[in-house]
Amino acid sequence: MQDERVDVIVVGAGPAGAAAALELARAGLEVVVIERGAYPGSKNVMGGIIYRQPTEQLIPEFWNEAPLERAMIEQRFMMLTETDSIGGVFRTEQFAQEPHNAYTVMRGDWDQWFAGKAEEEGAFVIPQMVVGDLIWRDGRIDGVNTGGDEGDLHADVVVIADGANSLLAQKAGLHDGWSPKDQALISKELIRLSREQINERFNVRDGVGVAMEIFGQSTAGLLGYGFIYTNDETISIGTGAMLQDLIDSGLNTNDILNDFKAHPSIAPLIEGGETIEYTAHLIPEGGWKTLPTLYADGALLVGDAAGLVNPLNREGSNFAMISGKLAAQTIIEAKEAGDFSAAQLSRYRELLSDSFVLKDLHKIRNLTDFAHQRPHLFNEVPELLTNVAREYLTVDSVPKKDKQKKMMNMILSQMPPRRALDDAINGLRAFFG
Amino acid sequence: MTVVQDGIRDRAGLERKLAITSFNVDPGRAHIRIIDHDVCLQCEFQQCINCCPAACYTPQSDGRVIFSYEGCVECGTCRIVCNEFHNVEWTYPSGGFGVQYRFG
Repeated sequence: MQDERVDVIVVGAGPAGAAAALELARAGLEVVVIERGAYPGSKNVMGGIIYRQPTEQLIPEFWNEAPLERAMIEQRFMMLTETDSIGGVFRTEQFAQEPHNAYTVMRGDWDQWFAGKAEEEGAFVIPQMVVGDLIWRDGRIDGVNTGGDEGDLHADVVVIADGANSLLAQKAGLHDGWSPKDQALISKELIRLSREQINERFNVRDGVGVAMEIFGQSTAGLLGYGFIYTNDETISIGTGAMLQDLIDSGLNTNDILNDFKAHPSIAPLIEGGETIEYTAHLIPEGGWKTLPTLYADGALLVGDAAGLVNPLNREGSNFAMISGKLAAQTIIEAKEAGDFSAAQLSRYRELLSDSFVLKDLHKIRNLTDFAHQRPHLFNEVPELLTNVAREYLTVDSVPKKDKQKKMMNMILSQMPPRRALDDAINGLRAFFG
Repeated sequence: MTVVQDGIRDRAGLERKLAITSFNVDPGRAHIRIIDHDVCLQCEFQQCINCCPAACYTPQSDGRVIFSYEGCVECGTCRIVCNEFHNVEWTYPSGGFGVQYRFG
């Protein structure tokens, strides 16, 4: 590839990189996507749910051909104590109708398909190739080196889409590395069950499914959550907690996952299933407060590499795809202007600021701090709520008035009004931004 | 004999799970390396051991830590948690090598 030059090099063929490549190729730019895995998706993990509306902005009516598992029609929230659980359910038949709201997907299938769409538009995807370094010329980024003298490839812009662990973002000087407070570690198992077993256990039918977010003992009481998503013939079950909390607690994510799987409220859902894959991955959850610089002379930062994740609403793949799309739009404008300087490429930041991506990150900017300052939300609160519910539902010939008094005392002793008020006020602030 | 404190409760079970995950191990190169094994002796918590989701870090009876790259899922946790001593040299495996998720 000596002295070769293209319009744009995209590093990483995940949703952010493939979305950028797709849009750039559509506009007629010459794009090379470099992927270090054996195939796109082979290094990638998510829960994982793809949202229809943002995806449709890239590929209209993708659901007619994309590798999808089930359309999500039901959302369950749960809190776990050591032995008990309490929660709520929302279900709508609207989400069972086209256009659906969200789907479970397998990233191995999805990423290959999505990168394939970029190839169909004319992008050139090279798998099994690692970008070792950026090439600099006159103080600006001018391409990448993939090893050795022959490994130089030049471009007007490098789109850095190398994921949660972005080494290139640091090499580009866009940020100085993540701290354990900014990253969550998830571990996940894919468990095979028959389609009929899944339908019965989750009260669904073929093609539609359930997403569950579970707090409390699903993370050993650490800030984070466990999740269960129904796929066609498998269940995804995982747990995620902040790295700093794993350090402080001395716990291992897989041990937490095992306890979660063994919980009496969870175990029957996966009983008899065979684990066919174990995965682990980081999620950059530092959000607004750790947002790196998103552009440099000759480079843009997209997706997980830029830390574009909304942990509250479980969104990341859509942030990745939309950031890739907006990066492409920026580059197309830059090409027209014949200017690839940081000043020109700063347009990307404007576009992201006008979109839900940075608006949502800004909205929840205080949420992690809020939750971190209140470990009781993940421990005492599930305990209290299950205790109150048990008391309410236990029929023991105690007059209901006395029972109410007892329940009130339980609440007041564990949740003094001042603390409840503080949680409520600050919680509302953190949620509603 | 020194009792080795292992932060992973079910190391054997985790290794069994990882045996199902696909790897294309590069026989020629370890992509991650502990830079100086003696530095680990100064590290009080050795959080690499319990934080690694693939049990790649094993405590030794002499207080040092051994890293084995073969079953590494390339998550980057050790790169981030070794934040006091910066004693982990972390690179990606060569193209096509390393963990190979089929489903993800």
